[in-house]
Amino acid sequence: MREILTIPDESIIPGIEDVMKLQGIPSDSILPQKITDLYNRAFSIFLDTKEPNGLISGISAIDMENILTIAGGNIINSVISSVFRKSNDLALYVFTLGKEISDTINELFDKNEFALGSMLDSIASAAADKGGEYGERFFLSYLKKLGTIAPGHSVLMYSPGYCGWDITGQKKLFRYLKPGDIGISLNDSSLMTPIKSISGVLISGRREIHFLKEDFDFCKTCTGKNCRDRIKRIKQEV
Amino acid sequence: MGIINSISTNLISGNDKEVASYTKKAMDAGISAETILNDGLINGMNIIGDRFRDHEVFLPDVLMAAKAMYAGMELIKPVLIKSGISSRGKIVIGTIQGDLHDIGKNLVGIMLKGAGYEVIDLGHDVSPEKFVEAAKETGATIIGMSALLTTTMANMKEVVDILKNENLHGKIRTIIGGAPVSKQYASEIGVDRYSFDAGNAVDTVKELLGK
Repeated sequence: MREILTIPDESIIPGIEDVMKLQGIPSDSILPQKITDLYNRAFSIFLDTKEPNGLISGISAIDMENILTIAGGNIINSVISSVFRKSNDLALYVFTLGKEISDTINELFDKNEFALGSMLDSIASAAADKGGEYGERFFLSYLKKLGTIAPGHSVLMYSPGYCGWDITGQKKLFRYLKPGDIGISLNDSSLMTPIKSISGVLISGRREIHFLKEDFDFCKTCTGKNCRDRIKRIKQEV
Repeated sequence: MGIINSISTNLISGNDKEVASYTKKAMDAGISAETILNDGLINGMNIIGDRFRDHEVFLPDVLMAAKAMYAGMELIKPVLIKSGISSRGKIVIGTIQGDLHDIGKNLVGIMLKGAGYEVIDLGHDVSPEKFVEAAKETGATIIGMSALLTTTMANMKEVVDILKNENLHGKIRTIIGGAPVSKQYASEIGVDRYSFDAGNAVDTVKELLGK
């Protein structure tokens, strides 16, 4: 399976609370009118500049192992290494919001429109996360159609750069995924262009395979703890 | 309310057009550019910075104030340059190689500029070599690095290693910040200081430069 996805707008529109969280504004805050106005302006620009695109490609467990193998033939010590072996199906996935929105954010900063640029940046980041979730739902739906997913199973995405999977892992992932078809490339530091893109491997299997203890070395220094929200999300699917 | 006070008050409220207008009025009234900068613009940014630190205002408030500060700065900048008034110090900042998260770094840059420092912002995904080269080229005496990912923070140590290899450690000081780093981590990799937020970064720069 390899497919370029047409992603409906409603699938990537973030909630205002997600955007404000990225702005460091607690969810119980009463937003001043000028911040609401700023959000509305940024959201309007977001609607005009987004160019959402996705690409999904199935991958075997053997190829996944190759992606995770580093020099010396060892598998990287990361959450993904523990989880993928317990999976039923795997797919690589990449989502982008396109170049125009990133260019617009840069232009706003260049024009000293820091607040507007920052708000648009947060909307785009939250939308990119939604794009990742769309990939999870798409893969789940695809597996359901094939009849290869059991009740109580779920799909979760893991991305290079997080949970012990070094960002350089992106290079190998891209060798398999070939996302140039939707205009995404990697720079020397393994970062994606356009910036507002998200990539990773979609893992389907029993929900429990994702419920890991935070006892990896990198968990000690991680303050993001995004894994908790992700696990909470799939728990809520029950 | 005096003109200088009006500059500060409007800056705090993020009223960029009013700040520009009052800055022009102040210049027309013969108030020195240095007074406008220190008592009007920087004073306003210090106040909004303190309020942000104390969670009285939000990030967009600070960024709107920063735009207002720049509106005033653009008017007095030619006068400051002409009269040879130098910045309080030069700082190179950037997000470390492999990392593209730069909201925090941008805020640090804005706050440092607001405090009267010259900031050379290298953007995101900055290699250790580029940090050091930029500091050498510009004469910056502080390098500020940011990371959001645990998988990229290790690259910060390479900057310290390069500075040591080139006998610049101690001459060019280093500050780190970002979600995964800590005071302990800064100490472990030989970085001079850790800053927990943008306001603290300004205080740390003041402390390191003694001004």
